Amino acid sequence: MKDKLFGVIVMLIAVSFTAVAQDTGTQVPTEVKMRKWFVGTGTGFTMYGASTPDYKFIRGNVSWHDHVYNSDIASFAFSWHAGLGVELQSANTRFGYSIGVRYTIYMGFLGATTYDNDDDDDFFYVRLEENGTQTDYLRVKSINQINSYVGIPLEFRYLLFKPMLFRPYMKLGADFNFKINDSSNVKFKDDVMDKYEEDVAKLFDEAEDFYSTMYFGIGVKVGRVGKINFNIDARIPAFVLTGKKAGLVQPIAGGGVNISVQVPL
Amino acid sequence: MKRLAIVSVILSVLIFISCEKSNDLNDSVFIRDNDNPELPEYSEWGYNTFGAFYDREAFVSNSEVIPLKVITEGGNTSFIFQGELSNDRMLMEFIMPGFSPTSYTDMLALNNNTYDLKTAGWSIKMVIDSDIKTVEILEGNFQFRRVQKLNVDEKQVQCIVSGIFNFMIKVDGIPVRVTDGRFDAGVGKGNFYLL
Repeated sequence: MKDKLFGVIVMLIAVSFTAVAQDTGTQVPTEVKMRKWFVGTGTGFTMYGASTPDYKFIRGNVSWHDHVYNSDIASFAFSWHAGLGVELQSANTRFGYSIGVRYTIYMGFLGATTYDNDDDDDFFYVRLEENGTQTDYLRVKSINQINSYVGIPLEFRYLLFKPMLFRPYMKLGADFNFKINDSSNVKFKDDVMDKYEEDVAKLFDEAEDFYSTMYFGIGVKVGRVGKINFNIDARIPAFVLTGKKAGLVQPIAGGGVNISVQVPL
Repeated sequence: MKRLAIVSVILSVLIFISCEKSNDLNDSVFIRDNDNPELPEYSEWGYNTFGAFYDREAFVSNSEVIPLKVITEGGNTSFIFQGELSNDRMLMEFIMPGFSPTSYTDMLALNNNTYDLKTAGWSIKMVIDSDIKTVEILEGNFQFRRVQKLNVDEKQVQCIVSGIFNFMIKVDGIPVRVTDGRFDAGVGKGNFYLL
């Protein structure tokens, strides 16, 4: 389902780009010099709800519908990005198509019950090793994976109403990201077990080298036609589309905020 | 004021729910068997569960009583399973002759061993809802599939005993089949008794 939706989104963006290129709509008054190309920079974050994969080495890690035991493991994912891009706007300033380069830090988190680890009871058991008649568990409070990516975002904007200082818009976007670095951190109930951090981190799935997301957004552009402008938009919802192994946790859907500034060329 | 009271109640409930959860190894983790959802699935994690069909009814562990106690006395060792049978409290005790562990770690000797209940001289005691039953073993076996020593953060804490059982008995003169029996429990200082 996600693959089909991804294909539809890419097609819509491609079609809209064609529409922008051929647009001969209403012309802005000649006393305003038209700027079709903008260059900009932006940053933002997205928080995802996530599910815990079926890790066989975590004691009691089972889903609700299979049992009557209350699993104490919580999971979520978070990403932060910053990047540069160019946007082509239509002559009537209704449509905008952008492409750029983006640096993203993506973090997956698996923790016991709550997201803060002040409570001494918040830990889960990880089976480090089992060998014949001996089994070793470790008490783990949390584990997080932090991956860095370089990617290409593609976005399509539809600006509502006539040009004005505060102009709302809707956005449709997708990005394609390639992993350049990864790291894991494990927090143990007993600090003496820190020596097993690498062993425990290896038990969990690594994120694949490529992932993509899709998102919808609504926002506001602040600025005059053809002048420098600022944009802020909310990404609701956002989905991670690709990869059977998204890493430590499986992101479901999320939302976030993006801000950017654009300068006319 | 009313809104503040409602928020306080909600926060209190959330805090209570979060405080209620425990990660104690003595907790029971009852994962339903895919083929027989009335019974827990077989596991070797020390999930403190057991289950079997007593004819057609399910005799299973619950979260109210300790599911397994191991008692060594007079040269014999008893494995006492306590749970429920169709909402009645039930206790089934397997008495194994000639085995006298002095600590729970000695139970490792049972690893991967199967016992014919009749020929090995075992006996069974049963109590259903405070009613002591007369039990005669007709046939069957009891298998310790795996007995393992469990270390947590490099400290030994318990032994996990896991296995299966199937047998036919006479209960107060009436034949009964106990089938699809399975158990997976931690045995440590809290439920091992040397008398």
